[in-house]
Amino acid sequence: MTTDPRRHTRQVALFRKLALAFAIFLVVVLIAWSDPQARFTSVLSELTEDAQNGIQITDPTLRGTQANGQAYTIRATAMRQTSRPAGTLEMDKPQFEFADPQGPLTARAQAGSLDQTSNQAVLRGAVEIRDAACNIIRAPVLTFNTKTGDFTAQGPVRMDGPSGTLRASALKSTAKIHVFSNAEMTLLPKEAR
Amino acid sequence: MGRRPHVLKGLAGVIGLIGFFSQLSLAQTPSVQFATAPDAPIYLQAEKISVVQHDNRTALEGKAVLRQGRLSLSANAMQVTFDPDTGATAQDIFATGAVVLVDAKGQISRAQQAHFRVQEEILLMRGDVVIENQQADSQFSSLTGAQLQVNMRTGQSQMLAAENTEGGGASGAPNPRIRIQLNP
Repeated sequence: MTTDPRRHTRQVALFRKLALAFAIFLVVVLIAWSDPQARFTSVLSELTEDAQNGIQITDPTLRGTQANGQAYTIRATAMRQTSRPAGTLEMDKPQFEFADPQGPLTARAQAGSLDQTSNQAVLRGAVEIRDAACNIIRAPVLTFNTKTGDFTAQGPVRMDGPSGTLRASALKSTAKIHVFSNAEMTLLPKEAR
Repeated sequence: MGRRPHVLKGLAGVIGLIGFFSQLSLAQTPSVQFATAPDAPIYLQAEKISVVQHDNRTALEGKAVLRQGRLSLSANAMQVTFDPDTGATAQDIFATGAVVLVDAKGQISRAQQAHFRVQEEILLMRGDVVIENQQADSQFSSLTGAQLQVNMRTGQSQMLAAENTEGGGASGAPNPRIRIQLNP
């Protein structure tokens, strides 16, 4: 029995080549995974492929915590990642629910986007916010900060409440105060209440 | 028996004096009628309206205007307070700074502040109150006092003098009494 003195050297060299190939494979997979335009087969049953918008998730639910420790939930009929800006999710029929000590605050719209980096959510189309005081705020576009709960609305803004109606050109709101610009408020007469 | 005509003359004189002074009293506080619309909705306008959540109050800043029917009340700022139980019913509207009340008849009333008690339908204007009447057939051209109280249901008003005459008017000037400028 003669042993090949280079056998061990060859095995080591082969192992090195395999390790290098595996590393390259991993890098390629990571790059491909990070590319929203890349095509994947179904990863999970709830993920579907969308050639235009990348991966789409149906009926997703996202949960987070505001800076004050209160929880919020984001639901949508569909959610997908967009290429620009990075980390932004586009949503169909999004619904935000904020747990407020005075009662829940909900916001819904036809469409929306969520920038996960800046925690800014933009709601578009028939935006409607309902608070615990039975006020309903409507606006075409509304920007939400999911961390603070603050929001701003542009365009004709309308708030209907138990006391009457308020119309304005813009709204800036925090947890404590709604500030309407160029506003008109209608207080209903006694008989109409 | 012979003194009876003198007694009657004296009694008639007293009655005449009472009548004269009662007329004088009425002249000092003429009833000014405002054209109000108590059943109309109240419209409030401002450059900025702040709704303080869970506090039942709303602040108006910048060219604040209240309209009810053809009655208009403008001021630098206003504040509306609502019923704390329901949050639905406006209770008080406070107006401060350059308060001007204009009614449909063109009657202009100016004051430093106003308080509209919405449920009681009473508007109280305070601080150097001046009513300028621009109607040609009016008995007076201007009326000055410390307070003007308007019944928003009936439109009737009452001008009141300052309660504390020592300090004079709200501006510091000695203006404790009601002053009226009659049209010639």
